[in-house]
This record gives sequence, structure tokens and C-alpha cells, in this order.
Amino acid sequence: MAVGSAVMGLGPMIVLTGLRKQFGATVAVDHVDLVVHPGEFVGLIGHNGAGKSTLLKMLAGLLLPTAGTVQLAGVDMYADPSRAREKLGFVPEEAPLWDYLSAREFLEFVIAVRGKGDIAAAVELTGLGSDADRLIREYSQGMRRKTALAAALVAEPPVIVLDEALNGLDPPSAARTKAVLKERCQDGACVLFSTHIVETVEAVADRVVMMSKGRVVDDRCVADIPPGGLEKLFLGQISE
Amino acid sequence: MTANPYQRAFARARHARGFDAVPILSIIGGALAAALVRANVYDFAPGLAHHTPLAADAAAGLVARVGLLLAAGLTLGTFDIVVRGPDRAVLDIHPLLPGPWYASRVTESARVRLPWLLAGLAALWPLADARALFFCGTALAGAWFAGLGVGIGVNLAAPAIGLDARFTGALDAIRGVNPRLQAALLYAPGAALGIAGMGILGGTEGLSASLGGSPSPLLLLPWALGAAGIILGRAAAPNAARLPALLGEIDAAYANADAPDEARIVYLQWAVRFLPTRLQIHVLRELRHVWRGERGWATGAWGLAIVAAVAGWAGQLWAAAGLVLVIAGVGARLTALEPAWIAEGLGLTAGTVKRARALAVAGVASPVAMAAGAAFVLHHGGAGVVAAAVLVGVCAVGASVSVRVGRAYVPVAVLLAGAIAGLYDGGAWLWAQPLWGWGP
Repeated sequence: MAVGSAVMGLGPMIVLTGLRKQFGATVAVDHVDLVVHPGEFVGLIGHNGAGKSTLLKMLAGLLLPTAGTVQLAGVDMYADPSRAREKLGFVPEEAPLWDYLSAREFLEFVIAVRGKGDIAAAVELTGLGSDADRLIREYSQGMRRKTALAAALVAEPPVIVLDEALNGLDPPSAARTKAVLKERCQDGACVLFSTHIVETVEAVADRVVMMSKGRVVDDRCVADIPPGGLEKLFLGQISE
Repeated sequence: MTANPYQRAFARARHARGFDAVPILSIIGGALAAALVRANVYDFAPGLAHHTPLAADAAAGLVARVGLLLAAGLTLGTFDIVVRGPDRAVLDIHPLLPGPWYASRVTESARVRLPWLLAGLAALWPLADARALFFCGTALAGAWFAGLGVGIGVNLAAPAIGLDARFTGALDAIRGVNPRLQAALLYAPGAALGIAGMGILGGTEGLSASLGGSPSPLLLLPWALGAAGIILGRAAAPNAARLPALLGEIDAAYANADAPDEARIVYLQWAVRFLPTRLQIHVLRELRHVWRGERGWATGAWGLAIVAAVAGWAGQLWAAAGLVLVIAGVGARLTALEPAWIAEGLGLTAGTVKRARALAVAGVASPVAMAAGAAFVLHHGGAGVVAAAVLVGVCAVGASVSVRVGRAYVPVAVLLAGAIAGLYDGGAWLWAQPLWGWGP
């Protein structure tokens, strides 16, 4: 089912095999198999409660799978979580930041922990200008999100995963972020992002994965969908 | 500035937060608490200068009790810092550098809990003998260090046990209604206190011998245990990379619990069942806020209840009242920390919020008032009933005032308690000193 512009010579960046998560009698994610190759820009869409966030949390090592495995750039997340996190830049739905640091100080911390990255480029990536030296607690939601995105990208990880993180950005920031993500894909990284907004998927993704009731119900190349047809296709899939 | 990225970030955040009065208030509080109970608890002190066995045992017993309280606080407190801390959300999504992370956690745990030790040391002032102060101080600092080291070591080793399939049966047997993975974490602070407690009791033997004139190496046992705990913690530090999944699993299990089951396991609901129906849900919300966000006040109330019972037994009504007022200060924290939009969003009037909060605060402070009141009644009969009624009134007034005045209440309550101590006990002590020449 994998489609998209795979970069030659590199193995898959994300491999989810038989991933399942069950809470009591509720099955949140049901046997999901997903492979994302270098260079792919994949949009993950689904209605509320479809299992997107649970899937991404398992992918990021924040929730134990009931069954199945997660491999990021060849490293098993649950066998060697710290090394797997070196391969991953992740932005959860609620951007986690330290309120009493400035964006610059926070990005310096991320660079130090990850052992690579350039602070000037990271600050440039936030687009915050002189606001990068103000405390994060004074930031708006959009500024927090830009800081979290820069923190995920600063060390140039090969796997970039964003949980609803492209929503809520102002248009110039959204355009700049999408351009940077595209650039990273061209350099061999992969991007997997979840969203409710089908227009975002149509605008930036090469491939769309649709989830409903914990399962992957469709996985196809965006180029194969007629312009404006994604919403209709998505609604058709989740109503089945 | 340190090369450790975690320490550097925490130091910067600390600097940005500005001056913190808690350490100074803790030291003042320790010294005042000693003044409040000096007549009853430190009456053995004059015997220390003469190495009498009775005074040595009494001093060792006192240090052991305070040391165990410190160790209990530290085994719980280190759990918050190394396992559940507020920094988790940020740290969980980045690679872990075990060595620097561990060093930062040890220094942060020590820094945050140092005021407790200083408060304990300040509370030793009535001993008034340099040699006794040295030995008691060494023993008390050893108890603090044992709580810190063993707490860090055991709390960090617990996730490995929680995730190890060989312990599944044992964890299922002890987990009660909690998720299996939480069982190891639940029992870790208790296990740490058990280990540290044995060391502290061993150290107490050494303290008693040392105060009696025969210095004993057993005095250093808690120090050795603390050091062993810190070494164990370093060996277990790489486990911290597994904590995000473990904690995520526990939180998800609670979030997905069926409502009827959850209702049975939330003990706070039991506490509000006799209140008017319209207030129950709001008082429950405030109690949950205390229990989840300000737990130190709730557990501290039980610790202070012991001191209040001593004051009540000795008939020191205003000393007991001072302790009730201090613990009622949690209302000021609740008022200062809760954003106004919550009440607005829930459509609550300010009156409803204040009434519910005051009832919750009175509930938190009630162990102090009730312990002192019960001791009054037991020891002083009918007159004690009046005193107990006064304490209930003080509890109600303290609760309703603290939720109205916000942050200012805490220093006011501490100073009030200090004034009470100074008037009631410290003043009498000063008056009794022959140094002044005009004492008795």
C-alpha cells in the first residue's frame, strides 16, 4: 500500500507492525500496519476518537502497545527508547515547553540534549524574532507551537511526527513550516502528521492515511485523488 | 554556568521565577514549632550537658521521630522529582542523557528539600548544648540524606520491576484496583521509607550512645544508606527512558476507567456525601485540587496533628490554634493558583466558589483541630470541650479568611503563629533566663 516519493538507498523510516491498543473492552487502535519511507510526506486523517493520537503516542514511545512493534529508522522504540527518540522529532497536540525559559534558551537545551543543531537556525525557524528572548509563559498559543516545531526540527531527525501541530499557525508561519518540512523530506527524512483539516493534507501531503474506529481504512497517493475530492472520499470511508 | 544541559535549563528557569520565600519561611517555621512545644517536648534538654542516659535517650528519640518525618517526606518527594515531575512532558519526547539527567535530579531533589533539613535543624535550638547539637544535627542530616538517597534509588529502580514480566504475579497480588504497572511505583516510596527507616533507627542507637559519652559509628549508618541509594539510583538511571511509556499506560488506564468503578475508588467522594447536594460537586473539585496539586498540605496536616495533640494534651490552646491557622493557609494557595476563567467557564458565582473552597480547606485543616481537641477533652475533661469548640471555630474562621485574602495569608499565619509562640512560650523562656538578671 505504500506510495510516495521514496528516497533511493535508505530503508523505511517508520515501520508499525500489528500495532494494537486496548483499554478494557475498548479497542483504540486495531492491528495497524504502516510503513513510511524516506522522503514521504504523509497526512493522517480521521474523525475524533478514530485512534490517531493513540497511534502517534505509541509511535513516540508514550504509550505501551497492547500488541505489535514500532521501529523508527531501524530502532525498536520499546527495546531502545532513548536511541529511538534520537531519530524522532515529535510535536504532541499540547506543545510541551518550559514556561520559565525563553524560546532561545529552550532550543539551546534541546540542541544540548540531542547533541546537534544550530541555535541561530533554530531561532530563525521559529520566526519569533526578538520575541525569542521573552519567557515562553508570555507566548500566545501560536508562538508556543512555533517553538515546539522548531524544537522538533532543530537536530534534523530522520522521522518527524506532528500531532495536530500544523493547525492554528498563522498563514506565513504555516507556509514557512510546510516549506521546511518539504525540504527535510527531499533530504531523506519523512513526515507523518495528523489533522482534521483535509485541505492541509491536499496542500502538502504526498500520501494520505485514513483512520476510522482504530483501523486504517484507506491509504493512497494524494496525486491519485481529484482536486477537492479528498473530503468526499474521507466521508465515504468513515461512513462505511 | 554548568555544562550539564538539564541543570543549566533548571537554573535559568529558577532565576526567571525570582525570589522564593519558602526556604526562609521553613526555617522560621521550624524554629517557631520548637518554641511552641519546647516546654513539653524539650524538657529533657538540661540533662544533655551532664550526659544523663535519660536525656540522651529522649534526645535520640526526638531526633528519630523528626528524622523519620523528614525521610517520609523525602521518599515521597523524590518520587515526584525523579518519576512524576512536572518536567516529564518536555523530557519524554527527547533522548535521555542518563548521567547528566541523574545528576540534575539528585541536585534538584536535594535543593528543593534542603529547607526541610534546615527547618529540622532550626527546631533543635532548644537543646542549647554545642556537643548535643553536633551529634543530633549529624543524625538528623543523616536521616534527611537517607531519605533522599534511598528514595531516589528505590523510586528509580521501581519502573524496571513494573515492566519486568517476572514480577507480574506479585504485582497483581498487591495492586488492588490500580493498573498493574502502577503497583511497583505505588509501593516504591513505602519500601524506600522502610529501608531508610531501619537505617535511621540504627543511627538513633548510635546517637544515644554518642550523647551518653561513647561516640558510636552507628551514627553514620543513615549516611551510608543514603550513599548506597544514590549509587543504586545511578545504576537505574537508564530506566528513566522507559518511564514515559509506563506513566502513559497508567494515566491512560485511569482515563479509560468505567465511571461506576471510578466512583468507587475515589475516596474523596466519601468525604462530601453529607454536604448539601448543590455544594457536593464543588467541594469535591476543591478537595481533588488539594489532593492532586497541593498534597503536601493534606499530608502535612496529619504531621502537624501530632504536634497539635501534644499542645492540646498540655493545655496550650493558642499553640494548637496557631497550627490550625497555618494549615488553613492552603486556601490561600487554592485561591491564588486557580485562574478566574475556570469559575467563569463553569458559570459559578464567587460566593459558591468561596463557600466550597472554605469547606474543603476546613476539611484539610480538621485533623489538626480534631487531634488537639480530642487531646484537650481526654486530658482536661469538661473544660476541654470548650477548647475543642474554640479550635473548630478557629478552623472555620481560618478557612474562610484564607480563601478570601489569597497569597498574603501564609506569611500572616506564620507570623501569627510566631507571635503566639513568642507570647506564650518563648517569652516565658526568655523571662526565665538568669542571664537577664531580672528573671526568677
